Amino acid sequence: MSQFTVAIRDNPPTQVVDLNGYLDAHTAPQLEQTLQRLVSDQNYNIIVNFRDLTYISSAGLGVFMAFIEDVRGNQGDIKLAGMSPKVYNVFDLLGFPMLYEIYDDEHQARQRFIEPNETIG
Amino acid sequence: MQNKPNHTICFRQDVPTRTEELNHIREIVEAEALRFGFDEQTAFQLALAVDEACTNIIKHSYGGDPSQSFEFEISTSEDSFVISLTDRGKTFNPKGLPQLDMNRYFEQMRRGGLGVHIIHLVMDDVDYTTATNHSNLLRMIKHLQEE
Repeated sequence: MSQFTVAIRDNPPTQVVDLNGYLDAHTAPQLEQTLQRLVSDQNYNIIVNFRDLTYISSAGLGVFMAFIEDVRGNQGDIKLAGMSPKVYNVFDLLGFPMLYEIYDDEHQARQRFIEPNETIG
Repeated sequence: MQNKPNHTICFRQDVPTRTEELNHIREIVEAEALRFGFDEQTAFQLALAVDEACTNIIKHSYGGDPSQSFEFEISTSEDSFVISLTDRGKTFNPKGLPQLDMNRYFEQMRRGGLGVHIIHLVMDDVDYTTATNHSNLLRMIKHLQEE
């Protein structure tokens, strides 16, 4: 079984990055390449779908830090969605919810790209 | 930080300095932590902290050289769960690093350096010693009652 897979899916006006497995120092380079490709192709509305991710370490968190400035500088964002409580706990432990918008699911994150000022309940 | 008389070694292994070993290490830490009596959340965090420490050894102490190895040991005594990592790489003392201010970290859009911060957030006690034979010992301790 594969330890980690990452795939890009088109869900206009966003690009969704589906993560599966575990994200650590061994697998983080795969995510980095994927985000690099999206940014190089000038896709700046990015949703990262964590639904099938079972684990993340700081190596994974560091990948998001590497791209967020560039993406927001181009009026885009990296929004995070669908985290399990365990994975959310790692983000929360370090205070990452201060910097990133984290949604229950991909649909909510996409709505925020479409209607940035609307209340999502 | 000396071993107590009733100190029990639960697991000991020489681990190659390759990042593909991290998943195996996490599985062992989590299983042993649960067996010792920690709840699932704490066991998960302990596996995370040990992952961070091992990643630092692989990436920084050995500079990514995959041909080396380090010793990984889990021991317990009374209420203490102790993870010891011994390497012969470059000395890297996580205790010597300043406390990370996450507000400043985010303002500066920094990357990396979070591993040591995680270790200190999760563990109750972290001790780093360099022996005269140039081996570095990192001991990370979590107590059951301080959950």
